[in-house]
Amino acid sequence: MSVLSPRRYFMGLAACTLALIVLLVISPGIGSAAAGFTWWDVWRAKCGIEIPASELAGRPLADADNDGAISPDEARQFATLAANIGFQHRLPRSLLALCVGVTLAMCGATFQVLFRNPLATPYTLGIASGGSLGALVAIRLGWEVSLFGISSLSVAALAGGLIVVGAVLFLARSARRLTSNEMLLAGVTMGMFCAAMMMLITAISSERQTFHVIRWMMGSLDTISTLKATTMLPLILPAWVVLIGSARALNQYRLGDELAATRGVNLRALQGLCILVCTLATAAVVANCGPIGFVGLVVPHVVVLLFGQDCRILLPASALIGGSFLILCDWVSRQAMYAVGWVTGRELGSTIQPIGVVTAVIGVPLFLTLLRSRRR
Amino acid sequence: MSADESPLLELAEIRFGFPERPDFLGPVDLSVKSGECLAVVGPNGAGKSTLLRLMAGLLKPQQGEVRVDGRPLPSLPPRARARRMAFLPQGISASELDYSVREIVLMGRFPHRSWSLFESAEDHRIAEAAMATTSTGLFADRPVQTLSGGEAQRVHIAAALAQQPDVLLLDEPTSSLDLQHQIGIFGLLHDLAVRDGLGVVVVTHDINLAARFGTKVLLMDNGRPAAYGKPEKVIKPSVLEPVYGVGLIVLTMSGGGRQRWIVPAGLRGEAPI
Repeated sequence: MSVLSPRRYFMGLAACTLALIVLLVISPGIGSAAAGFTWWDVWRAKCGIEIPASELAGRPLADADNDGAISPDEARQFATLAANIGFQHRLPRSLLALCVGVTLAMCGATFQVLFRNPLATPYTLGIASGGSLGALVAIRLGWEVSLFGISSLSVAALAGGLIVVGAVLFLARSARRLTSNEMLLAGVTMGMFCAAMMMLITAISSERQTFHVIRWMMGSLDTISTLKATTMLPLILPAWVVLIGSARALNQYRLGDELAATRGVNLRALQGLCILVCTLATAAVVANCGPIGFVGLVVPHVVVLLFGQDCRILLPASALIGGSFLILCDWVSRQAMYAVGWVTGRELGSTIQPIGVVTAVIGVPLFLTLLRSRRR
Repeated sequence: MSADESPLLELAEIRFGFPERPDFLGPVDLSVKSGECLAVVGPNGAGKSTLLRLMAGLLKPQQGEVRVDGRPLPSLPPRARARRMAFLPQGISASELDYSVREIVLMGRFPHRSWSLFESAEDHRIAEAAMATTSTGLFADRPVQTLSGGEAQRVHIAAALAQQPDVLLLDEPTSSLDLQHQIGIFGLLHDLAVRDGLGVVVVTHDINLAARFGTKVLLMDNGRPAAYGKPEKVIKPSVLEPVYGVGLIVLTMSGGGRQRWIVPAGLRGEAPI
């Protein structure tokens, strides 16, 4: 890669932003096919532009009294319904996917730089396994309280994730560097320990509880209300700001500890701050949406192949592409069963595929294709 | 005393120890002035690299003071320190990275840039000049990992020069290089000191190159300075033999100027030359 020029920087980020905006604009129209309205209908309804009744002919949802004709009244009702579903369910869901994708992709990119390990993910320090164990404990004990839109399940998962990362930091405290192999090993070990504990608790749980936790671990972007995204923001926004602001120091960090230190980078401050904000942000995401995998591993690699290794563009581009990627995966997760039903000719209902499955199914071929095209 | 003669780098009564080896190093007193190239030599484990890390501020002395431009090192903020002093560690990991030569050299501008996201025209000009000095401009746009060891080492020196330091610290810059590149690097360091007025400190194992290109030599022995001064005072068998624990002989060659080489004596066998 050549030197990052302002031109490449702004063109690259503009392209990513444009793609993201397009996705957000059409996202109110993507959902259950039975609703029968497009993103264009939703935006017209939102902006108060009347949808001509003639356009709505043949749409079952618009024809409330089943008389085969659409009256202006029915058209107005249809518009209200479209605006409600589009802006109170679909767009918030896409915004949640955006926040989660941005956070996981940026934290993944940062961890890959910090640990100088291309296989590092936001879950390397055990946040996902700790969060899952916390969620399982909450489910086993039957804690089902919700306060200000924050469920006890989320709180337990958040606490589990933070406790495990705290334990990893404690175990690896003797290591000279905050990001040494001791940390990685401690993270992997704690992950195994959590998995063993989960098996233990699952063994003494009911089938219903076990199923609940397995569904939780597949990840989900279901929004009960817009509150879910907003309760995450205080924990994920600091990470976005700190990581973008640390990009140039992270570039120096890549060259090695000693060189970075003598170039004026405060290593311990950089590592400590990045690990802190990434841990809080990732724990918040896991607590709300489960351990959605793959985004944090693959998106940074895709961005490196597209834009190069310079952290100044790697971090913001990972954020934008990660957000877009997860919005797309969420659409697929909601449409996948229709597609399967259409192909097999069987009615499979409106079951939503777990988002974690979709991120892997879309991500793996995409990543392998990019890898091959680069190797050539 | 004119301004030129005040030392760029000063070590006053430096002492340092590791937890497992307290009182390992020191006391060391030395100064490096503009135009001087100090070669630090000594056996393995004598404390050469530790001393260099103390100078760079990577290790903190337990006693004494390191001064750069007359200011104590701890009083300088990290970036201000980096604008005065550049350090080149052994074996830089950048070789695995997908950076071009120009990117590596431009990264040396880090301590000089404030909040701007991109390198200025000034940064590019200084990087060009650094690449010209080190003759790395020819492959400016090649990825670093495609370069040979000697070329890559020159690139890292160029990055250090882009920092525009007064003092350049290098840890065994020629340890993995072939003969031609060893001489090339040392010639470059000598020029940077004598021609461009930098203060250069280089840790090396090669006593002959130290004698040839250093303006001063520090011989370390088990954490203590065994000898310090002009090369002809330090690089001679009577001084080196007790430190290295081997017999040394001086070979004098005439032809194209008189040259003296110090080689180990009493090697078994005969070289087939």
